[in-house]
Amino acid sequence: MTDEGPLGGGVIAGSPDSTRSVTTSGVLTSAVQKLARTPSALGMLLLAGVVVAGIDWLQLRDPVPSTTYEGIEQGRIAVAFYTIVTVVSRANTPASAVLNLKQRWLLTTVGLELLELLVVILAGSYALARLLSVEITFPAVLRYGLVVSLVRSGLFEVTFEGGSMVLAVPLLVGLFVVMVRLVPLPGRILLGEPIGTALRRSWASTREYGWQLFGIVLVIGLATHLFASLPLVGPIGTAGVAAVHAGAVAVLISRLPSPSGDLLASTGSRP
Amino acid sequence: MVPTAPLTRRRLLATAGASIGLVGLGSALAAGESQSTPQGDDWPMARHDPAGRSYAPTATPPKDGVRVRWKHPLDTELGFHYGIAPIVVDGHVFAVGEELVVLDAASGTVQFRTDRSARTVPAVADARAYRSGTLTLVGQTSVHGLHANGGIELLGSQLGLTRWDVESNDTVSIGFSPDQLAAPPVAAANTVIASLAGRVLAIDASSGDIRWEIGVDARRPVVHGDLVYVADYGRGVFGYDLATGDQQFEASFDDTMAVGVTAGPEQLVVATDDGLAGLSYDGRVRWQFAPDDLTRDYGAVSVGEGVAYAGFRGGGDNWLVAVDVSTGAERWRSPAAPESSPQFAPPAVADGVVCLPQEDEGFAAVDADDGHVRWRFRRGDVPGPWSPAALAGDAVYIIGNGHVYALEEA
Repeated sequence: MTDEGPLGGGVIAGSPDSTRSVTTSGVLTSAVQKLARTPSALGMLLLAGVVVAGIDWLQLRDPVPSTTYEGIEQGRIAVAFYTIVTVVSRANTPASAVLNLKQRWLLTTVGLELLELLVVILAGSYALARLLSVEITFPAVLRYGLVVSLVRSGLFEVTFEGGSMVLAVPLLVGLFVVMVRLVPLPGRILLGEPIGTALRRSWASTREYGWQLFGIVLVIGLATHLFASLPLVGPIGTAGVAAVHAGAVAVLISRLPSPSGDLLASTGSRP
Repeated sequence: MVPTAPLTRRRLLATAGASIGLVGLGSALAAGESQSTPQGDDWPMARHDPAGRSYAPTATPPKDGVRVRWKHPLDTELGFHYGIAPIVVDGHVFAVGEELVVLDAASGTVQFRTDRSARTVPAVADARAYRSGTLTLVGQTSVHGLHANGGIELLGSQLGLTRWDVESNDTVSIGFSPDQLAAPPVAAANTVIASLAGRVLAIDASSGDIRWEIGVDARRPVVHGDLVYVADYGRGVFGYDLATGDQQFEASFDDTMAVGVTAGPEQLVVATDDGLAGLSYDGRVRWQFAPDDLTRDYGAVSVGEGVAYAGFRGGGDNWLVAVDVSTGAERWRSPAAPESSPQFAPPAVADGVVCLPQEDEGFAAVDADDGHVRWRFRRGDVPGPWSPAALAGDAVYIIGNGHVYALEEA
């Protein structure tokens, strides 16, 4: 248990800690301090990073095709912000490469992908719950796992290829708006809120803090991309960034106003 | 000139939706159509085998006359030179032009088709992790590994056809030869050997990983034993370890240049800029065949049943010349010369018959003993151009006249 209150400085959910301002540097600094007081959260994510790095190592050497993370060394600049707290893998198996595999390699490939997903879900859930000082509940982890699976599936990945800036700029702006408004989402899910409620409350609570949160998205996204560009140890580096991300989410939930002040009563998730 | 920029693996498949959740794919994905590895009656790559002999020891092509068993339309690029030869693997004919069509070798019924084009003959290689081979297509700056069984057919489209892609950011080097076809890939020991943008690459046929690459501007490499041999014009013949790419062999000629190579059972048969040469596997020149009245170009040399077959020019005509590979002596020359544009087409050899596309005279089969024409094939008033042949089972498979043809004994 941290020496800070369950939701940050003894402030109950739904009641923002008005004594502290929401600035990019302030939130990130507090996130790091929170992590320092909760080393198990950092440790769990780093452990997940080691596991993902090991899975990457195996996938890059087995006879099943895999695509490698296109990083800074290939001249790609990206804001790798995924909303969820995640460890970025440097090797991915395209779905088409799974077709017609021999049974041994099918089981190995699907097994490694599932193991990676499971590790990321559990480590992210644990870290967020510890930083939020709430108990981990099975329904919350299940919901979080669902969101992680959807995000990691790539269904929401947007790639611009040779498109005109006229189209790309508005889309990018829209994407960043969505990213910014959903920053608290993973924490709200771990608080026990249903996904729909968590989405609505994340959206509502971030309304007046767009630029500050944009800064957080930018810092975490760029740092994730830089670390993900590192061969072999990339996932471990992104796990460190994920820990800061989780800390920032926890700090924001304590500082941002909640549209409904009855969170504790409505969810009953607080220990 | 050999470009020096590195090749890169591309995330061509990693766009939105490519990495769908793997949960639940399970056995459904493993239950694709089984396709055995290339062997026996197959003609799985350009010039038949890794050695590039264009010799099918088990095939029995028509000898005394020919008729059409079946034909199927194929969208091909119209041109004046011979087209891309088909390949045959496990009872399927793979024909590529502006589209890729896979046909049942016996009946000609379509197994699958897709809008994939290629600049040269494809190859099917064994792939360690897969139950079917990897169909390799070479483009201008890329090599594509596809599921040889076509992936999953959905509403007339082939879903998940691609296994891997290798791309080069380099521009294609323009050589001094008139060759307008890319060098075809070679499949050997779970590896695809491809020439791309002035480099020879060894690509793992299963994972698509580049095992090694060397800066050699070579025509079709050949494989014998554990070595990959290439002829590098002006430098000689080089051999590289198939597994590591380390150079293990080097030989050159004092008075001529190597322009191509075929790996015979006992020796390398080298196409030179003035004829042929026998080169033992320890690097000694065993014989040279360079008659004063003949010249030649980059065309491939076929080796079967102790004889090398190649196109030559002489006296204002083109010739198919047979040379004894043990002595280097000429056996015969036939006026039934292989198509020579953009270069002499590789003859296909099996069971005492040499099959080849001819310039303006249709497709022909000549007798391997004396070079006389046993049969010719034309369609109406369209003499050609026809592709080199793939010989498998008792049939000859060729592409021309906008169709894939299976020819059988009349």
